Amino acid sequence: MDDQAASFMLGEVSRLSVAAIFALAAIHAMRDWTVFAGIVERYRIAPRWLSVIAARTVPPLELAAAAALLVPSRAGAALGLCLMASFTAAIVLNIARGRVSIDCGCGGVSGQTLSKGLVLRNAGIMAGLVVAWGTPTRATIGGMTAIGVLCASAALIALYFAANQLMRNFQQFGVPSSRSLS
Amino acid sequence: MTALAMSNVLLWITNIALVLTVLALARQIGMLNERVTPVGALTMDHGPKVGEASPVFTLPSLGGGEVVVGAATGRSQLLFFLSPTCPVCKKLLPILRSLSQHERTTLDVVLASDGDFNEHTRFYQRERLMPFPYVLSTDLGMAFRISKLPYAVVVGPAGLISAKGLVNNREQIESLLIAQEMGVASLQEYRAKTHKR
Repeated sequence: MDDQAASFMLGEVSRLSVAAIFALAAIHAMRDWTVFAGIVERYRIAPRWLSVIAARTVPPLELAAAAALLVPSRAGAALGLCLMASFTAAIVLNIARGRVSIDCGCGGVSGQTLSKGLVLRNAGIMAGLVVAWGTPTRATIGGMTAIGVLCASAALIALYFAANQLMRNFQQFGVPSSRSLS
Repeated sequence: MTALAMSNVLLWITNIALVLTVLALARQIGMLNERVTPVGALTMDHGPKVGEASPVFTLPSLGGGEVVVGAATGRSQLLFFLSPTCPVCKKLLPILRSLSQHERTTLDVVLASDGDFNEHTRFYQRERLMPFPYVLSTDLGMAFRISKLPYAVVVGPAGLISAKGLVNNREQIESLLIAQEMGVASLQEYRAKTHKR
């Protein structure tokens, strides 16, 4: 396998897995706009009216990024990096403020509060987007490469959900009554 | 197909199967955790006990007029302690609305909190809480030793505390009213009683 084919394959795996994560998060958030708007507002980074607008714009932008990641272009990676950078900034800001008990809103109500693990997870997604940005794209893909890309992406997406579930479990087991605190 | 390619395919199959197993196990742990949490409203051993006379307060309501809290009025009273910054409290407001509608012949719902008057007035108007009396009093919260929100106290028609506890959902609010009807302090006490038999 030549170097170019290897880096293309790595790039495709990043693009496909991040696209799936974005698309699933967007669909989840769009199922209940009101609750998602409430979650965005609870981050307290913008006035109420702006939070409502942000809650209406973020899920479609995520969908757009997911779609753009699947075509040979750098636009998807760029948009994805912008989105992830602003999400992570909002999370870091609220951790710094000590407001860790708010719902992270990672795709609607997630039951997951803010934590350093979340920042780490987002850093992982951003690393994937940097790879997606820096690797060559092609209009066509060979048979064996396609199988490898699909399998690796499926494994990464499942790992992403497992990591989320584990973080949620840790949060619930750590302080059982934390959910009832205001 | 070379042996190397075949081995690669087999590795992918086992890899994905293993990741899915981890995911399934993590979800099961999460579900198990939800199942072992208390089913009824959790009572904390603070403040006046169930069966004792409730402290009586006369407080101004945000909607105007005065509210008598905890007195023997011949009607039951559900005191709901909340805060504008607590999302679970917000979730329970529609439930309280339907509850006060259904039980309006026997039950009064009173919302209670403390803190900045202007912040609460804004919250009161935004959430359209006009059907409820809404009182602000640090002393009231202190009298019942409220440490966590949302907290509910049911005062019976004779001014005695009939049930109280931390409430996170509709079932837990209803459990307090059922506890009052059945004459037990909480679902926990009921379970303790039935287990002893």
